[in-house]
Amino acid sequence: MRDTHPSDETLSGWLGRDLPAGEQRRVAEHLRHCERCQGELQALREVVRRAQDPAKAWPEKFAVWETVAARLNSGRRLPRSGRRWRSTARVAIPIAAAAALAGILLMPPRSRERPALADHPAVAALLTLDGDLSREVEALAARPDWGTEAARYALRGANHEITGGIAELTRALRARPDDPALTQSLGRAVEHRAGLIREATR
Amino acid sequence: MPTGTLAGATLTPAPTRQPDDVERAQRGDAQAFRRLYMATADRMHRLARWLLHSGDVDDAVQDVYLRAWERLPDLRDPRTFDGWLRRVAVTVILRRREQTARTRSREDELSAAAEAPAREAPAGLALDLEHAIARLPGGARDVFVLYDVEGHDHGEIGRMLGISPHTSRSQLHRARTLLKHVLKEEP
Repeated sequence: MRDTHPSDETLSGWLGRDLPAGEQRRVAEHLRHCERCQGELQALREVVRRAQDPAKAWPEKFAVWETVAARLNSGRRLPRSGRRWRSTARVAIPIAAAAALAGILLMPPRSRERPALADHPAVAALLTLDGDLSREVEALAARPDWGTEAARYALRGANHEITGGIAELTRALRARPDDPALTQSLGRAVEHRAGLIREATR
Repeated sequence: MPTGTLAGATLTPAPTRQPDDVERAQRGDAQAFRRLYMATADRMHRLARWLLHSGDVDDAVQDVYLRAWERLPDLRDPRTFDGWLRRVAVTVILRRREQTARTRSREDELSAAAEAPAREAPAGLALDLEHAIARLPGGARDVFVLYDVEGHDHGEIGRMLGISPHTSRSQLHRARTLLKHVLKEEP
């Protein structure tokens, strides 16, 4: 490594701590004495920094708001006051609790993606269960013999949306892993995903 | 349920977002939702520009906010609104993109490809980063935008795009490398 400059991809990996531990150390050692690679690394950091600059003003946003407002006023889409959550909440909490317990008893190996939450058995169990459920939905949506193309598309979309919500909760849980309300919300979201399977296979 | 009228709202300047706007919008306050829109629309529009390889970006942004309005009561922690909205946006935009790809005929694709060079900056001129991102190969652009701009991790990106975390990492490093070369060409 002393004689060979790491590639840009390797430097980018080093920046995100994505390299194997040994390579991460070797690159760090190389960077300590190589001004050229320090410059390349700085350029990569600049790319990331500039990508996070505030977005430029979008002049049409006022006109687009008018269209959004008109569609809201048309009554076609109104807040649902949590109707769906309430309908699932009756069964979600017992299922979430059962899932958490099952997860504690059958704890899988720690996930590399969620190191901080692996120490919280209930959360880790729910996330593992959710991963399995998500794959099950994806597999169902990929089956050409299930439903119409539009139905498979809708199923995949609903699954992605739940994934988004769960990722949001996971981020919040990383900051507050002992917050029972967050864990309960996670349980509801997992139940929501399970509901997709139930509905699709009914 | 929203009770106030929304008509004529754009005649006044965009007001500043208030701390309790998310809770108010969850209760159906459309003016609070408008303030949230005004505070976040620039960013959502940029996200749509980058993720939609073609198509009507303004329509996609409309869909994002209509979807957000519909789903807002499901948001459990109002403090997480910004991240939640980004997730709604990514889901809506990717779905729209998938739908467009499914319905577009082969002839349309060829036509769009033929038009693409006209949207690029003239050769020899330095590009700013925003243009450079728009010109990245599709896979690399998606991952770069979702990781370095929107803050998702590789596991999440893999699930959203249907790729492995390993592929996500590779595409990210590829995108950064390409963009680094563009920045170096800037005056």
